[in-house]
Amino acid sequence: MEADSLALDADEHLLACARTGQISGFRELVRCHQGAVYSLALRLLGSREDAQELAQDVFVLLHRHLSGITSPAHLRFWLRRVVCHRAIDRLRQRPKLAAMPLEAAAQLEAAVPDSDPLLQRRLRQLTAQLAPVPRAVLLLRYQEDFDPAEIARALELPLNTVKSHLRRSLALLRDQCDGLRRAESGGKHR
Amino acid sequence: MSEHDLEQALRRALRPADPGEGFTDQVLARLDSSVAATPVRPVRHPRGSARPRWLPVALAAALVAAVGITYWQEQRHDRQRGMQAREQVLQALSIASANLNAARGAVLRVEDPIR
Repeated sequence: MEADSLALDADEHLLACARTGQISGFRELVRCHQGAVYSLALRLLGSREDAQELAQDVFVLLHRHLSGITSPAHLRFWLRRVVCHRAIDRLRQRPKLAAMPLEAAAQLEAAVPDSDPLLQRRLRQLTAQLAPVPRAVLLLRYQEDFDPAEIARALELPLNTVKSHLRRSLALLRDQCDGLRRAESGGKHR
Repeated sequence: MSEHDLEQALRRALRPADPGEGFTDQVLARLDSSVAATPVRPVRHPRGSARPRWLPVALAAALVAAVGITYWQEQRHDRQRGMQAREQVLQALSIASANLNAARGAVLRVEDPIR
């Protein structure tokens, strides 16, 4: 909690600097949020090149809209909302066959070593197989720690739709992971 | 696997990743290029660019609508005047018929006073 408030204070200062036109302030803002924005773009689009391009687009757009950003919390929300909407728009424009990003998203390893690398990899693969909107809901919930009401506002969806996407996606992931574990334990017993 | 375990595993699996060393510099380079490109853009005539493209279409549509409405109103007035004239003629005919009947009764009484 304390770390969060310190980060928000730092963002407040950087935001104020960036609004006055200081490029160093904007550079630090990009550094603070680039991981989240890029990861959302990558896990939604499934291609590193597309994710880099989209994440850069979003920061260029942020630079133009800095005067409209009222607080660090608004900044955090704005960035995640814009990247999700733009990624979903791009996915809708793609042909159906190309919209199945598995490998890039599955290979996106977290910086910290995983306790169960196989399970983590499987979860990333399964997340990448979800339809764009449920995937965005799941990413905002478990990557960005948004609560369902924030997700509903960010994606402009009814709250019950968000809750239903979360419930269904979790049930699907649990079934698939349980199946994987049963297959593993069956293999070991043989 | 419990829901809590699954949620924790998801949080670990979906930790944000680093886009790479040069990302911030690439964003700033794009900003520089967009700022440098900005003054070159306004080459159009200011009056021409300020006028919306749909304006001529909207004006033409408004003109056609005005002519149509005027024509329709003229037709309606003509029809109303025609109906009024018809009613006046019918009324005049019925008055004339009543007068003729009265005159015929008077003539018949003069010719045959016993009636």
